[in-house]
Amino acid sequence: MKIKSSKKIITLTVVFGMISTIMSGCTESIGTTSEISNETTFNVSYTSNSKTTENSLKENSKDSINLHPGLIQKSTQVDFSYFDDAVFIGDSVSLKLKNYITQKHSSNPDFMGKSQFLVAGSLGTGNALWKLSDKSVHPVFNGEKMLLEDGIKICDAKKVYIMLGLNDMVPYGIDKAVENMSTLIQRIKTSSPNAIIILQSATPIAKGGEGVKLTNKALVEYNQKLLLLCEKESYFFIDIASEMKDENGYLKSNYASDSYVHFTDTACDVWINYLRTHTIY
Amino acid sequence: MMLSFYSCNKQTEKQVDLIQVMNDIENTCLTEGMMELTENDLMSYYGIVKDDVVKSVIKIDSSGIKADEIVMIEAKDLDTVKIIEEKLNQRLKQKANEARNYLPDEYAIIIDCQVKTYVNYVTLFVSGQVDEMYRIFKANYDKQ
Repeated sequence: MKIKSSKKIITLTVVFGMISTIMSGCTESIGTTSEISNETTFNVSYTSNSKTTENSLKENSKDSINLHPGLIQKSTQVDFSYFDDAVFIGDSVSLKLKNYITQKHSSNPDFMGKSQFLVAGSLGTGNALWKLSDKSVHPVFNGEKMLLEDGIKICDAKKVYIMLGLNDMVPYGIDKAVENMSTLIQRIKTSSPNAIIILQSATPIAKGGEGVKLTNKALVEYNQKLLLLCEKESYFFIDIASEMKDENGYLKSNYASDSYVHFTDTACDVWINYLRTHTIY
Repeated sequence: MMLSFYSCNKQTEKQVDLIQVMNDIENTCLTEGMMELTENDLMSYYGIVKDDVVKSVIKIDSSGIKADEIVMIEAKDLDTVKIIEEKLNQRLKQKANEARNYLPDEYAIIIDCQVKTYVNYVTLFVSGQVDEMYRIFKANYDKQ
C-alpha cells in the first residue's frame, strides 16, 4: 500500500510539474482562440474554407497534454476511471459502443469506468433540438426519455462526448447541422455550465454506402467545420474518424458491420483506445 | 400494446425456467448477433429497478441497428409487474420511434410486437419470429 501511495504521489507531482511548465509557457498567448491555435503545444493546422483536406485534421504524433480547446493531441493512455465522469451522446454508432462496453463488463466490470450514455438510433443535431414528445427520438436515460441537456444534468457528467451528424446530412446539410450542433451545445452549457464539451468527428461511410447528400466528402467538410466551431467556442475536438478511414476515405472494411456506417467490435476497440490516448488532462 | 392475463382470472404464480425458455428459443429461432444483459443492466437499458426483479433473462441485438430483443422478467410481486410492463412498453415505443424513419424493415417488425404478461412474468419479444417465441414461452409456462 505504501509503495502504491508513493507511486501515486510521484506521478501526481510529475503531472503537476508538466502542467505548470506548459501553462507558464502559454500565459502570453492565452487570449483569443485563434492565438491559442497557433501555439506549439497545440500545433493544429486547419483552414476555414470548405476546401480543406482531411490532412488538416491530422495530428502530430508526439505526446502532449491538452489544456486548450481545439483538436485533442495524442497523450499517454489513461485508466478507465478517466471516464467515470463522462457521458457519450450519439446515434446508432454510439449505441453500438454502449452495447460493446456493456458486453465487456461481464469480464471486466471496470471497463470504461462509470461512463454513461445518452444515445438513440437516428438521433442527430437537428432532431435533438425538437420538443420532447411521445414520438421524438430523444434518448431514454434510466427509463426516462429526456432532452440531452436535461440528461447531462442528471448524469452529473463533466466530460460530454458528442458524436452526431450522420443523420443530419440529408435533412439539414452541412452548415445547418453545424449550426444545430452549436445551438445544442449552448443549451447544454446553459444547463450544465461546467461541462467540458468534446466533439467527436463524424465517422466515415463504408464503400458502397454513400448516398447523394450523405457522402464521405460531406462528412470531411462537416468535421472541418466542427473543428472550427470548437476553436471558436473553446470546445474540444477528437478526430475519431481519422482512425476509422482507409486510404480512400471509406470506413475500413474490417471496421464496418454493414455496408453503411456501423461498427464492428474491432472498430469499437480502436475507438476506445483512441479515446484513452487522446485525453484533455 | 399490452396483454395482461393475470387480471382476468385468479391464476397462481408459477416458476418458469427462463434459461430453458431462452435455450429453446435459441434452438428454434434466429438469434444471431445478440448479446446478454444482466440484472445490472436493467436500469441502464429499461429503467427497471433491480430489486423489483426476481429473475431476468434478456438478450438484445448487439449491433445497434436491428430490432431483435428477447426480454423475460419474473417480477417480485404483482405491484411491480405493472411497473415493469410500463417500462417495457416505453422501450418498445422508443425502439419504434428510432427505427421509423431509417430502418423501415425493423420498424415493421417492431410494430407487430407487444409486451405480454403471464401473472408474475413480463415478456417482450421483438423478432420476425415473435409468434414462435411466444409459443415456446407459453409451452414452458403451461408445463409448470
